[in-house]
Amino acid sequence: MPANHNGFTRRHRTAIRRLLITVLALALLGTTFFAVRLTTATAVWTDPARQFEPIAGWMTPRYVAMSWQVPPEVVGAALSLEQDGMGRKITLAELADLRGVPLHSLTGDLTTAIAAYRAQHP
Amino acid sequence: MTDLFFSLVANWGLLIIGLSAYFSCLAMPIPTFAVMLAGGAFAAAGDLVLWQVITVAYTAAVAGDQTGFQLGRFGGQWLTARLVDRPQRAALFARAVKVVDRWGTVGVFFSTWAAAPLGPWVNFAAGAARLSRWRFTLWDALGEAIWVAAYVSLGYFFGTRLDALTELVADWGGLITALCLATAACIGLIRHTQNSHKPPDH
Repeated sequence: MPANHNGFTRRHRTAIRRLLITVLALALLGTTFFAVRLTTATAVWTDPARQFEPIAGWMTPRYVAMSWQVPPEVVGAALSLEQDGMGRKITLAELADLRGVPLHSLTGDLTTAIAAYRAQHP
Repeated sequence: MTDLFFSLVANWGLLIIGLSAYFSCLAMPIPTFAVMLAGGAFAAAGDLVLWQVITVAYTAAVAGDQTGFQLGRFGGQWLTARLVDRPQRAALFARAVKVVDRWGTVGVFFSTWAAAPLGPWVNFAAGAARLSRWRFTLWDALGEAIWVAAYVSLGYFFGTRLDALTELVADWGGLITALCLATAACIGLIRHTQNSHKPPDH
């Protein structure tokens, strides 16, 4: 089989060319895919109606306070947390497990407390 | 899926940040960018300490890349030994080594932060093609610094809406990776076509 200056055969060259074209095609497909998704994600990010994310089980009390822009004491009081740093590194899901209550009862309490705080501090 | 990782970061903090930064450099399918964002967000909330998050993530990422590079080295040695009596494939491998020698540091640099999903594969390739270790380490350390600083800061400053932020960053990361790959393939095709038009030596 004839080899060129790189020690390559024609077969190798064709294979490399095909590989590069496949990679390019897949990359362009990926570019389109992610561009569309990015447009949707940007719309969600800038939507004024979605400036606060629903309280979820993975959130910690401190995170809820930060995310919903309320003082940590409001969250602490709603969850009946003691002021000894118990809110540190425990998620709402764990707290619910620990207390044997369903998660939605905790998130419900929190949502009510946050709404009450906001009504008082517009 | 990402919620699970947020929970893990909330519960295990630095341990999860370190482990995911290390193992994602070895091609484990872990959404480490989400872990970094969560690390930054929990630091902003006061559950973690910012400098500790950055230090652990950076050290683990660089260590993971070094491990990947070393694994690539072993693989390369094994391949070289096997190619001794197969000159055509050896020529192909020699060509790959030349490409890595010329473009490897650029690849290593950009694959640590801009095109992070390609990172592990670039590390393996760089090791296999015997890229100089100090050049690898230099550009890798620089790139990882950008990656860790960027993602942890994004989480720290914009982490109040972690779900929406994660989606935004994931899509942005995917777009940049696809664009990097398209650019690399274009450059490769152009050079390949130019080389094909050169007259052969015999």
